[in-house]
Amino acid sequence: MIQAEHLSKTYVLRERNGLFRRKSRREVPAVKDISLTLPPGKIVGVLGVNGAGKTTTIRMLASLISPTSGSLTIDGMDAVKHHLQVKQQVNVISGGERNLYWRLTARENLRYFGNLYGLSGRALEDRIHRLLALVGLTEVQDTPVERYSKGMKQRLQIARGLINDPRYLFLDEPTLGLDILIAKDIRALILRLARERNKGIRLTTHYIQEAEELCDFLYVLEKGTVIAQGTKEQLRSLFQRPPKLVMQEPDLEEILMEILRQRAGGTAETDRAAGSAAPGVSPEEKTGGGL
Amino acid sequence: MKNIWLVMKAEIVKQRRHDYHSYFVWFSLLLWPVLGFLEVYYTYQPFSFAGRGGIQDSQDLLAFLGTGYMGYTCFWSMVQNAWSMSWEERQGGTLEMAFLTPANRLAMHYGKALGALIQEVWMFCCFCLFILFRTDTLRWDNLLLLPVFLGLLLLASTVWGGMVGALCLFSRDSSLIMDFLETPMNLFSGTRIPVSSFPLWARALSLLFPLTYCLQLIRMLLHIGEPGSQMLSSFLGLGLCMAAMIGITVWVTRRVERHNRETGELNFF
Amino acid sequence: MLIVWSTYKRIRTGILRAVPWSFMVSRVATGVTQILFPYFLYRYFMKGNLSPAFLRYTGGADYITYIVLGSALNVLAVSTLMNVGRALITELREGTLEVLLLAPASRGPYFAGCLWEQTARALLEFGATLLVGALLGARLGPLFSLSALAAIGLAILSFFCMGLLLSGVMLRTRDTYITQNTLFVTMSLVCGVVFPIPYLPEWVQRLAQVFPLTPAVELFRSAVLRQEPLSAHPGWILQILLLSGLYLLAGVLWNRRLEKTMLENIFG
Repeated sequence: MIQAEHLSKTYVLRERNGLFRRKSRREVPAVKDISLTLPPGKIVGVLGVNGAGKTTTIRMLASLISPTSGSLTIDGMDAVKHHLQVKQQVNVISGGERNLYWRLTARENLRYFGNLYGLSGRALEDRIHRLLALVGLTEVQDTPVERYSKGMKQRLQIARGLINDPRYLFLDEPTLGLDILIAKDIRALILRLARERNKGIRLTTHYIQEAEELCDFLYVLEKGTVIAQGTKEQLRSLFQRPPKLVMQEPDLEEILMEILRQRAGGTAETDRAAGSAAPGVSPEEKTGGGL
Repeated sequence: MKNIWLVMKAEIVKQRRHDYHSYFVWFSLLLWPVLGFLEVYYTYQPFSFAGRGGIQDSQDLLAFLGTGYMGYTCFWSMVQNAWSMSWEERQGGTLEMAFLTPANRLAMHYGKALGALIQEVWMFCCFCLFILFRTDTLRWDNLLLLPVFLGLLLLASTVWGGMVGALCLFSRDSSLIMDFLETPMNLFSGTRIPVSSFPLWARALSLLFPLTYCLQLIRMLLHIGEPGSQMLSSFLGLGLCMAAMIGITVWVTRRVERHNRETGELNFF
Repeated sequence: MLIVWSTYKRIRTGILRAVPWSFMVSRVATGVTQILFPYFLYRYFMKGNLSPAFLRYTGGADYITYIVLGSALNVLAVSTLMNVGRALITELREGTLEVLLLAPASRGPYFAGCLWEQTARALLEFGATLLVGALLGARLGPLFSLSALAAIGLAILSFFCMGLLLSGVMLRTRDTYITQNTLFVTMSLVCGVVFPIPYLPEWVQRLAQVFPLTPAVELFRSAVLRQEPLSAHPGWILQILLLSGLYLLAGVLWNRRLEKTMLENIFG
């Protein structure tokens, strides 16, 4: 269990005023007195607008940066003092296409990061094999990452985030900029990681629907503090709104999914859910123009 | 210990895969240094150089420049690689990912350096060795000197590369480091002109560069240039320099890790 | 004209924001290095002991002035080629190329904007190199003659035209570093920058004639070292103009063809 108590982070900005004058110090509080827990096997969501302190919180919990005050323990170990040991237990996956070596293949990327975690030999190769199958990149494992589509890169990021078999995973906007099908895949994968492999997952997202679908518990951040927390039900009950009866036309997303499902002859969908499908976009589909 | 070796190996393999995916690049790694070498050789041509600094004829000049250029290329490739990798790793976000792992940071630096070294300079080193054989500096009877000389060069360059890598990795505009290193190192460490011919101030400057001692030792081993320099003092000088470089690497790495944990930034300077 | 100006301004601000001054320092440093090595060689190691062949090849030129002029013009060449050559690929890398390709502006003024922006900078670097050279003892008095200035102008023109072709090569190979360095290293070896080219094997001397730097550096030196009027060397002038025309034509044709394929690649 990750337990954070009264975590605060204040960045000190030093700004130079002119060439020879002294730098001025400005303190920017990014996170103020946050307490939260992350049990294994659960998905905990953190919601908030841009600049609410979500990323700073993730970076503190992943022991990338140290808190200005407060305590952080991971499975009982002081994560501020022993940050290198803690790094063995956690990993971060963020949305976007960075954080990978584009000229290396998927397999080479995973091998490199595996080595950095002290893994090698048969054990590492087996794990790479399993992870590539898990994220559906087995067929393109020897293609350089620069030829991957966005969704494939994102899935490789997930494999990279799992390479040290972390007990706790921090996901920062994992479906950012992905199309609905791939986003759906990734959400299913996240759910399986928590339910089947007992990983504690902390999810930051802008998509409320995504949080609603996945999270067991939610924190809402605003200007660096927690302004609300609870399960979905608890949050809903905050204002005692009566349930609404709505007549709704099927929304566009549903229609789109139906079209795609029919085009694929109804097979792709079930395959995808099982996680064994070929990647959604083949590398050939995205070759032009990229550098 | 096993993990340290693993991290170094990972870095070496990554360097290989990452940088040199095209034969064109390989070509250039041989071509540029060779062309640069020739330029220096021809720059000597307008002079009546015979008899100066222990250089009697073109053969001696080639041997002198061959060793100088080989040492310089090893050291310089470290600077260049540190610069390009630091840029790419920071842009690509992979630097932060590496910092997310518990891997030994020093092993990462030295792995990168060694990887780049093996990757970048072997062809040019072959060219220099060819020249050393052609000019009878290396012969069958003194061939045992070859591993000693290569080992020395490899060790010194890796230690140097680790330091430059650590410095570049954490500085926002590391091309400045390159500019400030390139010219002085090239000029003052005796790559192209014997240090002994310098005026006093330039000789004092030359003591700052580890390459100076490295080249002195190599040339002494191979009996190139003026006899009479002290083997022991060069050896001590190189040892001191390497200790200082390792110290700087450790210090910078620790400071940066601390700074990074405080501010979340990897830019330091 | 508007395109020229806006291109100029954008490149300028981009550079100033990204790398405050390291670009300039970098190239001046390269130029100064190129002077310093022969200077040390001449002054400290060889103690001024020039061979008779050198004096014969150069018409008894002063060594320091000879190398300073060569290196400075080389800096000018490198700077111009680099800036013009890299202009398009930088756009490609930053993702602004597609916007540029779609804009109705024609490429000519775009490159002219690059030229203008970079000429100011290149001349500054050129001047800095000459200044360092003067401090080291080069005699640069006749630099401010009409023929010397005309030689510089001709040189810039030819480097610019070559830069156009270079930009096509860079876009094609999607590489700047390797292409430019291979070119620059070759040029500084074969074009007679720091030593007279008759020292080189004959086939290399012939190869050197495809680079405008070779005749340009000779023309520049004749104007400064021997104060000869440009009209004394119609052959070199003709060669510079001819090479400029050829590179310009090849560059324009290649860029036009590339642009078509680029558009298809980006949007295809």
